[in-house]
Amino acid sequence: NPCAGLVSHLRASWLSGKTWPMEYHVAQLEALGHFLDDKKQQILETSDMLHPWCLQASFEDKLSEILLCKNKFHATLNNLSCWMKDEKVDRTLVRGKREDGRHSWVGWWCRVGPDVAGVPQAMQLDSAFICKDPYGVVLITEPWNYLIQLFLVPPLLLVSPNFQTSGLEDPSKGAFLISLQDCFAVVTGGVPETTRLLENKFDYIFFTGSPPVGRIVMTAAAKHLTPLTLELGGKNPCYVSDTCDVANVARRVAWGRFFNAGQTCIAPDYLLCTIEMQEKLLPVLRKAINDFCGPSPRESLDFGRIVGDKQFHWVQRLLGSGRVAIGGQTDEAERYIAPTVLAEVQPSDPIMQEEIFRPILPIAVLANMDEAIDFINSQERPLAVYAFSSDDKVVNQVLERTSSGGFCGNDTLMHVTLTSLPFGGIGNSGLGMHHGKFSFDTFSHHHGCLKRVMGWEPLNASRYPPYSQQKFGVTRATPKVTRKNDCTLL
Amino acid sequence: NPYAGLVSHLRASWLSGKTRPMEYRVAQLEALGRFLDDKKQEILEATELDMGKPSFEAFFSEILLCKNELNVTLNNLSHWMKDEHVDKNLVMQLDSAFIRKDPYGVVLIIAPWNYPIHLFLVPLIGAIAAGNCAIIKPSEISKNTERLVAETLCCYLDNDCFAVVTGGVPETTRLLENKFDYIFFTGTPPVGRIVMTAAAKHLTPLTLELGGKNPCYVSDTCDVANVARRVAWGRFFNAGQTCIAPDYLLCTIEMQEKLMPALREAITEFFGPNPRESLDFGRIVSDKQFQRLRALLGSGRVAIGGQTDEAERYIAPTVLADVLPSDPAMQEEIFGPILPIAVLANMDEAIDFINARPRPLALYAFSCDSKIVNQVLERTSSGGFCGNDTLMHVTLTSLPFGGIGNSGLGKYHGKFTFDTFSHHRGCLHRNMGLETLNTPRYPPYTQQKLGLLTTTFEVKRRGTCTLL
Repeated sequence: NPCAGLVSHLRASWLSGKTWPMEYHVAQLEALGHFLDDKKQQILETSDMLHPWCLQASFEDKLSEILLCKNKFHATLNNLSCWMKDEKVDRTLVRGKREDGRHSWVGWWCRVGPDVAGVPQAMQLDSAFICKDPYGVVLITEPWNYLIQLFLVPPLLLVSPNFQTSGLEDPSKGAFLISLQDCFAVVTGGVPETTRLLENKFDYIFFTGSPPVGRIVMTAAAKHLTPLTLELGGKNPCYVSDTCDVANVARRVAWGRFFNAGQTCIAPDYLLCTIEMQEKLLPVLRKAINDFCGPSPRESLDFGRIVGDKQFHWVQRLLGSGRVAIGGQTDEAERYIAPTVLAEVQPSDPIMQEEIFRPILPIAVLANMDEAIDFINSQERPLAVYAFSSDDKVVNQVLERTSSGGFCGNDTLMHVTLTSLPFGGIGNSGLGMHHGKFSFDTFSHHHGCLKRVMGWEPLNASRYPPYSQQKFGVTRATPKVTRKNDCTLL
Repeated sequence: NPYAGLVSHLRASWLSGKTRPMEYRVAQLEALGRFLDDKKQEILEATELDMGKPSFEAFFSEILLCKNELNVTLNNLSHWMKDEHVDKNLVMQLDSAFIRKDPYGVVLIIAPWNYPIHLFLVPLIGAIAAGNCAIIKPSEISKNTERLVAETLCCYLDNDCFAVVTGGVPETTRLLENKFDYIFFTGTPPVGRIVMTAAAKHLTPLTLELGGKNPCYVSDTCDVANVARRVAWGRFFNAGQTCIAPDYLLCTIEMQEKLMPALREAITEFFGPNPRESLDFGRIVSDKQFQRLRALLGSGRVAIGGQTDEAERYIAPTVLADVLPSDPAMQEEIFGPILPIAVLANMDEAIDFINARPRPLALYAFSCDSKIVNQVLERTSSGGFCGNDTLMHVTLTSLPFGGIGNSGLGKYHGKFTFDTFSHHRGCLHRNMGLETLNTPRYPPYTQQKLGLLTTTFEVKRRGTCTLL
């Protein structure tokens, strides 16, 4: 087990309590911030390596990899002390109706004399709170599509050492090593290395990638009862109703589909609309693509390429679905796929069988919104559902009658830019959530704590055996957390 | 797959939207309340037959605590179900951003035998409150309670949406082959691994409430009589068959000598000179558990109790002194009325001892000195913690209850149960117009656009701005 020594070293650091003080967390987070600033140029250049023919990477990466990351840093640093604090909770003050019909406030461990109208409840002397504890040693597995953000975002909010592996497909990214300390490490490698890594016991695993690999990771986690978050993928449906601003819809959908050359887990994967709407959308989609990338997108500096030959493969088969209405050109040497729209795609077509993850947008034609909702519900639950309509009721219907990780009405991708919204999947698209405080909560164990006083023993007496009718009666009479509106006294 | 039909029936009910309206959920929850009221006597009798559970204990854990959870939920459901509106950035001021609480779908709740009503009913309350359908699998080991639940629960709950499945290991294994949308399991760590492995095939999220050895540290500065009563109560409640019971004591040799008479006195106070005749002391649930526990009596030396009766499955309230870490009683969760005391030199050794072992469900520390209680809390890791008492932290519905590491994953009780069984869906509803707000993000990309995006999207570090 090649990583066993590293894992135990990290665990020893954690047990030493090194990572627990807030000052330490802040220092590490600030160090990550410096990493983003110092290495910005190199990050962008490495992304360019994936897109050797254009500078699209720079803008999109500055946006997603740098700006959004830094937002999360700042959101975390601004709030960390508040998130780390113990959360005091309500101590149950129970009131009940006694058998003589009078109401009294009683602790349900409390013996109550018949004349007492209000008795200090035993728990009122105690301290009850939720303590946010670290898990220990966590593993973060990063995919290749949003290199930096997807691994930095979770540990931004780590209160424990992290231990991560670079993307399976592209080890060159692992060249960015955060300075190795006692508490953080980067491990590079492909499938065999990651399999060996998963044999170790981690205290939390955070995995972003595909559902099949997600199953493998969860099965490995089960051996050690390791809690985990899986950010997976799926086919994100995009329903467009007949009442909408067609030009705006086309721009917003095209932007979401073709950002990062379609290699985004939350990109709109396919469109659902009526035949009339398809006919209206095609010319405006064509115009939007032209506005974004010019008449020949291959020459645009603002359009990316496919990450690897393996991902580029299959494209011809996919393009055989429906009919190519826009684009369709490819170049294997450049791993270029033109921004493409396929019309009249059938549910049985190859492109409707898997997450597309390329700059291809199929349009499947249906009769109406109900058919669209039924279609969505017959598929695996996606990471995102999109619905476009000028009629709020239509957007709300789609929201209410479907189930997905997240939802955005009248736009694409944007819901994940808000750190105040949880980001995560459901069903086949994943489990758990992160972003903002949700990341902090994901990586901390919420420890329910009660500190009682050593004395005041008479308050406990009624719970001890020997059990008597009288004690039984007291218990029956007292402790219900009553249903509101049951009591006549406030 | 004998359960496939049942699971799809429930899934169809869920997809029909039947469980969504608040009125439906309230009606089902109120029906559960009536089940508890109507069947109270039967519940007390069944649990007494299953493990000699004293009526007081059964009423308290199986009826009272459940009704508390029910009422907390009914009192707060409309609030919990509401969309939670969240902070927005500059660009989204005119949009609607909120967290929607969606049900998962069809959930599976697997319950153990020791608190056979409570440990399926409390999760079920949250599952119903969150809008799910559910299959309940009570334990076959508490067979009287299992029969009661199987025969009567269906008269209270909507059979299109809720079902009880009975059986042992083979049936549960077949059941787990089906795809559920959430699994809630209470039981032992080895079975927890099996459940999680089955869940992994379908990427099913889950909560595992497992167990472990809950350490109980007693410092030299404490009120010995109070400590003895509180520890004895926690250890011997339900004849020790409680996942959060104090499993073993850690203290100095001097404290062991002081505790022993106090523990003896507490046990006598609770159960009389012959606990076997006390109506307030339970029995072991099965022969298999009884044999297992009897074998542990060879650890250390029997300082109090130690008597057993196989026919009754009776094990006396027992305290073992001078137990060594290598003794059998220190190798597994005891889950019986046996309290080993392991002697250590001081608090630091106790903390090291605790940290060298799998993380437990609960951790207890007794001291008059609050600094000591805090030290133990800060330097250890466990599901939950209680200072100067045992078991009580789980009676507060406002505290999350759950394990960590080997003792489990996930949490529940009160609102935490509702949150466990609901998917928190991040939602953004934007305006169809106002397109100019979006143009800076579209290609062709320019430095100017990047600058604009940075200004509108940026979250600044507090303290870095000169303007407030």
